[in-house]
Amino acid sequence: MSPPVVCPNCSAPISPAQFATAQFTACGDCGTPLLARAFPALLRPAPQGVSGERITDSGQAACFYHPHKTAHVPCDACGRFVCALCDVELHGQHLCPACIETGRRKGSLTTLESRRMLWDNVALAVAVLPPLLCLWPAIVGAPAAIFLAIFGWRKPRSVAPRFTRLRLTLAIVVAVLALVGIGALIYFLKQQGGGATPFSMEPTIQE
Amino acid sequence: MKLSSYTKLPGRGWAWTGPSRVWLGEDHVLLVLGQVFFESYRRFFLKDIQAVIVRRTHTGKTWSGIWAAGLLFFAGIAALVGDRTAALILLGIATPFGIALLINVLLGPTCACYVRTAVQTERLHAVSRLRTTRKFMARVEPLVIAAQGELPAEQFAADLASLQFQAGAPLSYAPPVLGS
Repeated sequence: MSPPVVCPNCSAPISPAQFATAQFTACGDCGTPLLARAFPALLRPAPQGVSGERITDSGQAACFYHPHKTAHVPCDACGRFVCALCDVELHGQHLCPACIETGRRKGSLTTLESRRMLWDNVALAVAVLPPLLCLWPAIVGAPAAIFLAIFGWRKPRSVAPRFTRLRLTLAIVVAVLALVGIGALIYFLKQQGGGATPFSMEPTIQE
Repeated sequence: MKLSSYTKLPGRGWAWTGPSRVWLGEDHVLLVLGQVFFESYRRFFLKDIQAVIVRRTHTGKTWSGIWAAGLLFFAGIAALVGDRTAALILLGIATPFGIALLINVLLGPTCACYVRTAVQTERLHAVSRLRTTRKFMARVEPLVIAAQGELPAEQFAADLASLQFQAGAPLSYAPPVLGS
């Protein structure tokens, strides 16, 4: 049986009467107002692990990973026979440990992912922060942001719905604007300095 | 190996690391914790959720106090200074405090919502207001019951009482009701 449901404040077991009401009631130990809901899973016994049966007849199919154990089910991804110990049930599919590991590494089994990089946030930060601090770091930051946005375009996005592509596009736009701003500033400074502008269309007069 | 489509659940909050949201998948509740350049995920399968515990907190009252103190401080100085321009500037500083106080009061009382499974008890930082918690529970509770099946009320209550009693919870304790 499961351990009891406890008060999150003092870890004292919650009184059974507190589950029966839809209103906040005081914890018997610390007096914290609590509202608790229990579900049948709380009373369900913990599932027992199975180790697979040993092969007794030479005609029996064997597990790919444990040759001395009988095959329980074929893996839905690779088709290898696996014993009851190796069989992992996920979303109604029977998978072997190798396919689980491959799916986790490649990101095809999103249910097993617990962390993801947010490339849109990285690109936006690299695009926006340098111009805010000072314009000159944007000379490096803006191309880096464009590179990161393009790099992150095809990378796995957030598991939950999120405007990833919009943020990546915004990062590119900000980076391009920063580059245009830097270009304009260089042009302006050159003009102020009195030197010939690099973009001048007038022909230079040879004396 | 297909991607789940998620629908938004009520709740939007902040953990220490960043923003937090809850989503409803085909067979689970997904808790998303933002960490600036990363996102971490916790999944609570509907068939595995054992309990939801909500604890009232004083966070909302504390924030109201902070915003009210800021508002009174700047508005008070604005009332005391003779210069009109200085008073207007101070009122300009006091305004955000007033807006924050108003929003905090309108959002209602705060709470901490915990989801318990066989292997973890996790706080849902996204569900931090009492009103949001009620909406969250109204959405999730029927789905959890549908996924786990409903036990006869008397049997469930008796088994639950037995479980809690074995751990030391007093059976005779009649908890005082503290409001909805």
